Amino acid sequence: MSNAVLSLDQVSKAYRVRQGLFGRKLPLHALQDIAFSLQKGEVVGLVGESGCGKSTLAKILLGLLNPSKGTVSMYGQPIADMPLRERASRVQPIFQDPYSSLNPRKTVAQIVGLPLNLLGIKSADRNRQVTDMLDLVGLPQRAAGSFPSQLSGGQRQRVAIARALIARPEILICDEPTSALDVSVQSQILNLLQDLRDELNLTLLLISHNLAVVRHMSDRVVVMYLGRIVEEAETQALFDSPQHPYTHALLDTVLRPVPGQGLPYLDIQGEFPNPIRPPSGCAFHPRCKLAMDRCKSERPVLSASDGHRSACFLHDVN
Amino acid sequence: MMLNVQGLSIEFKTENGILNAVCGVDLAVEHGEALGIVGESGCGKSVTMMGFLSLLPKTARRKADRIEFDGKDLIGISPRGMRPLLGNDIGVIFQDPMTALNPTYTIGNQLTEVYLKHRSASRKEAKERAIHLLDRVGITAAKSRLTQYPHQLSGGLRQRIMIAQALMCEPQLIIADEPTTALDVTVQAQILWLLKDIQSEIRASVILITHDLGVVAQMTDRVSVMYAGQIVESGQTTDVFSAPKHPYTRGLLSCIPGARHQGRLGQIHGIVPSLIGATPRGCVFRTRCPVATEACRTDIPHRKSGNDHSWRCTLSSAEGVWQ
Ligand SMILES: Nc1ncnc2c1ncn2[C@@H]1O[C@H](COP(=O)(O)OP(=O)(O)O)[C@@H](O)[C@H]1O
Ligand SMILES: Nc1ncnc2c1ncn2[C@@H]1O[C@H](COP(=O)(O)OP(=O)(O)O)[C@@H](O)[C@H]1O
Ligand SMILES: [Mg+2]
Ligand SMILES: [Mg+2]
Repeated sequence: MSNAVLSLDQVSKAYRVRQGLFGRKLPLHALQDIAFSLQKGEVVGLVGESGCGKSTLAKILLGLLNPSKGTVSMYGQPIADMPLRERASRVQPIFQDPYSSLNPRKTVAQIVGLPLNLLGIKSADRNRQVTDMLDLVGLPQRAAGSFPSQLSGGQRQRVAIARALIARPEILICDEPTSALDVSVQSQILNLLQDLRDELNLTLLLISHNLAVVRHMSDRVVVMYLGRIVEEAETQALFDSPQHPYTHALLDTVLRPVPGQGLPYLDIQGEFPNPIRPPSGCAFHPRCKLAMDRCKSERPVLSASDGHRSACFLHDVN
Repeated sequence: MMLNVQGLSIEFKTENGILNAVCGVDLAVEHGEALGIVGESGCGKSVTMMGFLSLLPKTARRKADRIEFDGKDLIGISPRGMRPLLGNDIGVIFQDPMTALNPTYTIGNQLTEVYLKHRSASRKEAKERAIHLLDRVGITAAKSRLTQYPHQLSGGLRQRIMIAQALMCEPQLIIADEPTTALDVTVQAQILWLLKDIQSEIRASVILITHDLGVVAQMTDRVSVMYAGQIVESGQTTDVFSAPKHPYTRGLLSCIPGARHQGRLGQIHGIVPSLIGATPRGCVFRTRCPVATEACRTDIPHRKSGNDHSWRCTLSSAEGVWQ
């Protein structure tokens, strides 16, 4: 654990949501007992269907949201004890929608330079660093005076990356960074993220619902379902021998641009459950074709063998 | 032939000038065939569809040499004249069910309305047909759904309702515009199965519009690749994907993670050209093409090979590009 740049220990988050117009507020458990860590220089992929808690986790890692329980630590020190400025200089976000996350009334140079302002860096220095940063993310210098609305989606995402990197953070939390982009733009951004990672020795958490993207980019992959981690392994191990039936189904959904493979026969039924009323036992059991009686009443714990963690009773049987 | 579109061009009047959204598009769909129209956002897929269905807004101008549905001329027909066809012979599934379904109507109203409009059926018959179709598209407790409103349902359920609605009158042609783009991957697979099964069941033709090359590869017999308002390549899906001829098609395939085994993703440099103003002569992909030459500034030949595989390029083949 000593190498862990960022680690989560039994992190849970509950929102309180009102059911109906006059209903009372009920807890919605968006995250439950999340434990994993990011090692220096690693790219960790986080996958799962929408609503499983990925963005909540991202916000907690960024310190934008406090966990209801558990601790997030950076090099062993709880981030809750760190000054905001220090935390922000070390962990930075890249969000899905580069449009809504950029101030429309500010120029690219102002947007990218703002974090330096906050650090109290002088304007001459700031301008030089902004110029360098635009270069680094592949934006032309003339973009400096443009407003976000004058840029393409891919260029806006490059601005978001430049803004995230200007204070030289160690960790980037990327929440669906290419989901709003076309595939030709996505490949530009993914290649850029890979180059920057190598050049700056960044640690990346890459959140995506796109399995092919995660496989291409990640060293390790964490799979979530309804607020919990159901599987975690090195990328190759996860894709070659998935342990959890949910991971199996997710991997099957990948449609490759190779004709003749046909549609997948999914071993999964129904839709994602309502998180306010999670199923008993293993939350995945109503959709699982392999569910046993035990799965309805008991919840399997995440257990590891050879660094491959999964939470499923099938492995007790085998 | 189910649908035959030749020389379709569509322009919009905008504040900044004329926007050439679609330029000289040809499409042909045989009976029982599934055609994919694939390309990145803004390339003109939806406008093409709205164009041959006469559903364009007033700011649009359409030109076409031929638009025929099942041998019937549609160019001369007014938008009003299209009404007996839409929802009846042609079922359309739109990208976003929330905009296509009327939020103030119950599911039952939405489904029975089309049926009552086109068929001389009683309310009871229409309701029975609606329940049958909800069942068919995999919606449980179909009967009780009839009284619900669209916003009370999940995205996956709404998309199923849209499909049920498009199928109410057993259309000969189903057009689906990004039918699974807003859905989770597990639900996407279910919806695609549904479309495929129903197509073979009622032997309908399908036009599937999407930006997802994986979906096109598994769902269609033939494919047309669009770029900046033009079809740059089309042919049997197997031919186009296994031996793409146009540099854009090749580039696009190289950008997809997992399409090739490992290593760096391919890249198409630059950005899509503006569609505003006079269409420049020559190839629309020229400014981004790694193998463009002076010849690409002049008129671009339509090339053909083998079984109905055609592309627009000065090169007879783009083998070897995008290593
Ligand atoms: N601010 C909030 N208040 C109440 N519920 C929320 C809030 N944010 C997210 N949720 C709920 O928490 C769950 C997890 O959401 P989120 O973390 O956004 O998932 P994901 O990013 O995987 O789609 C969902 O059920 C979502 O509706
Ligand atoms: N009503 C409209 N007025 C002006 N321009 C439009 C209109 N609808 C679409 N366009 C433009 O036409 C082009 C093609 O759009 P569209 O067919 O929607 O693309 P897509 O391939 O993503 O479906 C785009 O440049 C778009 O901005
Ligand atoms: Mg999210
Ligand atoms: Mg569209």
